[in-house]
Amino acid sequence: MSVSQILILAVVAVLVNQLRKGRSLALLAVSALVIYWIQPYQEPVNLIFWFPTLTLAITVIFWLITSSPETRAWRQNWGTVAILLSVVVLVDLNRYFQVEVFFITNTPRFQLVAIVLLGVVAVGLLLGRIKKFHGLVFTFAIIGLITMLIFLKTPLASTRLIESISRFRGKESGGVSSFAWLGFSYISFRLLHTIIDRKAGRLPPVTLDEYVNYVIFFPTFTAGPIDRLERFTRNLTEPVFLDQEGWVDAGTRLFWGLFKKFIIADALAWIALNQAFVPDVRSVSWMWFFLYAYSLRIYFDFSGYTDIAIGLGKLLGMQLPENFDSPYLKRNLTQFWNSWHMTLTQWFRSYFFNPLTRAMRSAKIPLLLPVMILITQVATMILIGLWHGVTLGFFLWGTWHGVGLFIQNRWSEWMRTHTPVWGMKPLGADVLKYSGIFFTFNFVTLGWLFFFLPDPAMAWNVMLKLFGVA
Amino acid sequence: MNTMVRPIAVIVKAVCLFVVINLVYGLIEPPIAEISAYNVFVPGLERTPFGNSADPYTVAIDNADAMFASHEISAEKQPDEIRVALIGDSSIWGESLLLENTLSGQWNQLGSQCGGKKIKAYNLGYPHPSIIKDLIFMDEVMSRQPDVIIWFVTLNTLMNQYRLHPFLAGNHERVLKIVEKYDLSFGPRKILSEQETGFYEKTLVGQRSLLARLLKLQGLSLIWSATGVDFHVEPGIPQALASDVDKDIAYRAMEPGTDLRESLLLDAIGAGFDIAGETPVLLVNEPIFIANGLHSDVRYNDFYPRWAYDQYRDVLIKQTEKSLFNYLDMWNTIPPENFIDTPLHLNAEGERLLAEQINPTLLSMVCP
Repeated sequence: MSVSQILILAVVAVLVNQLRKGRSLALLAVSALVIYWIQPYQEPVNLIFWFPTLTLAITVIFWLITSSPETRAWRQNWGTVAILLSVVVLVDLNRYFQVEVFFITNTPRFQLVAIVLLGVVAVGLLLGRIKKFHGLVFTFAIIGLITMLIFLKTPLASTRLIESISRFRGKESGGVSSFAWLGFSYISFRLLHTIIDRKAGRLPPVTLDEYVNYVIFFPTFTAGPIDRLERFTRNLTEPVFLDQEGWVDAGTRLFWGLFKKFIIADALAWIALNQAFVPDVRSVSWMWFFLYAYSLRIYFDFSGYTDIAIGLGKLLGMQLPENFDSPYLKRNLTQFWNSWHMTLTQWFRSYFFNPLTRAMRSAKIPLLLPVMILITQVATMILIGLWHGVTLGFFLWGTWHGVGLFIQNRWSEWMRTHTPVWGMKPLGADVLKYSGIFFTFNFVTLGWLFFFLPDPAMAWNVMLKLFGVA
Repeated sequence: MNTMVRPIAVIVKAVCLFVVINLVYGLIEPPIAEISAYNVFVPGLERTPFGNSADPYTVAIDNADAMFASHEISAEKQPDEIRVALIGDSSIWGESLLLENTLSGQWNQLGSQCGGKKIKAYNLGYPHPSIIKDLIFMDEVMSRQPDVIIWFVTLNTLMNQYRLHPFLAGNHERVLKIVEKYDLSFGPRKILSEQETGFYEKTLVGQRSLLARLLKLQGLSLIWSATGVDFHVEPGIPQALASDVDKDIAYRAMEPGTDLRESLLLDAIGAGFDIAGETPVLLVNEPIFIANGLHSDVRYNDFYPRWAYDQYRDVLIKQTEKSLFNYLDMWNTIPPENFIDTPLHLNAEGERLLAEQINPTLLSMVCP
């Protein structure tokens, strides 16, 4: 999102928050329009229109699968359905309105959109008649969503599909090699959270507008945080009243977010290490300097976006969860991961790490504790890596952190009984603390090489160069 | 003490401060473009900044002050140095070449000396063929104590223009000053004279784009210092030009028989020599690719049909003879296999040959 888009949305947020009636539906309409507005341009076949439309359709279908019969009453949800349909139609009619600042003007033909919408409504009506879904439906939904996510995050699969579509249309793919479905990584994790909780019988009953609002809430749509449905819905129905202090707090958060993202991070981006100039860097010290610049850049960029999301949320009366807590000032890797992209880590902890640990503990032949820790931590971190993209680089980045967490876990365990006497004195404790911060920051920073350099061999060469080996 | 912050007061104060800072900035017009990290904290660039946003080494900046402030020619002149400024278009700048392969790079590798002083060539090319642009560069370079200026031109350089290139638009006040001073019949002169910089354009908000690019240019000084690279050059050896050319006989919609003199800014050559004052100037007609394949009987290359280029050369020779300007016609001195991309761009070997061929004339000018 650009600065002007964010400022416009801040004004919209303030206006929506003034509503005493229909606030939730107004927010829904705004969020639905925003996901079209900020969807990046993408060839082929008007995907800029179809991706947001698919987002809305999938969300509605997942609500039907996860909702309880008492929340499905037409009386409760007709307004939401009307708004969603209106938004899709309105956006599509931009081919007649020609408002280029808002959206593309060569939207698909209305007949086609109408047929798709009728299809979605028909599926919705069919699903709506089913009172209770079999557990297998939830499993299939989970598998389907994960498959979609893997497909979209696998460059080769995306490239092949784009080429096939282009061939079918008799056009060139124009060098496009990936799908830019904005926000899908986050959407899929919100949907997975609801369906897993529904399967476990933990999901609270929510209406369609609460559910869709949760999934496509515009401040968190592109970069999180990943909220939980129960907390979000509670906040949506009981928004925080903004007093004088609240306004200042919201404005300050938004301002800092803009400053971090558009001033600090964007300036650091000029000098952050990247694949284009990495082969030309002549000295080790410069290499470290540019790598640190990258490390700081990614933090300020991401945490800046989070601050913007939280600030916008506050303007809407929503208290979003924190996503960052000074991660580069943590003394070990566990603390780092408890303070970096916290809501993603919590998600994986809830839906992967903890169940896996429980399963391994209750296995007939339990593994040794260190082995169990190694497997769970490495597997979790690899999945976190692959969530960013199914590539070898992200796999290695995840492995780097998984192994790092394991080593740190064993080290902390050992230190518990072997802390030297000097380390317990104030000065010694400070030395341990600051050296911990130093090592953690540098370990994380080195790990970014696998994250941003597309070629793992290049990442490895740079790492060797950083230590004067290559 | 009441420490409660009032949001309205914060907004009002912020707006007032914002307006005041903009007003003051607009009134003072600080010479911000002349402030540079180059030549102070890091070495100056060896050619003017030029590029696009996808290039990690450079930033497109159309402000002549900023360009020169970041260039190595703005560093203090060494006592044992003979400063040679090479002014010209993209062929001098070296669009497809690494720094060491550009004309200035090749020239400096010749290691020529005169009276114990080293001849140091400065690349002051810029990828836009325009004699008006050259005059602005000439004007800028004069305050950097050049000992000799070698000024490369070609037919495209001298052709009058009717649209304002971004570089000229970015320096429109200076362009207008020069055009009016020498009464040049520059195409967009009327547009320029009507184009006044309003107060808004002088404020921080009005200059935000330039300021952002200036800031980026300073940031990129670190990359320049660490890599010694100023521009992304595609790896590999560029292919030589094809020997066949287009059969179209027209030059910029002009047919054979047209008197080109009406379209050439010949007065600008005199203006350049006038700006240089006592500093010796050598005017050079750039080498061009001479095709020998299909349709080469009507065209020298894809840029120039024979009739137009021959007429241009004839006019230029007469003009320089009449005005007693130092002139070298190098049009056919480089073999065709040394041209790449365009009929004016040379490869490393071509640049070396050119430097070697002009060097004796240069030495005769600086070591009389």
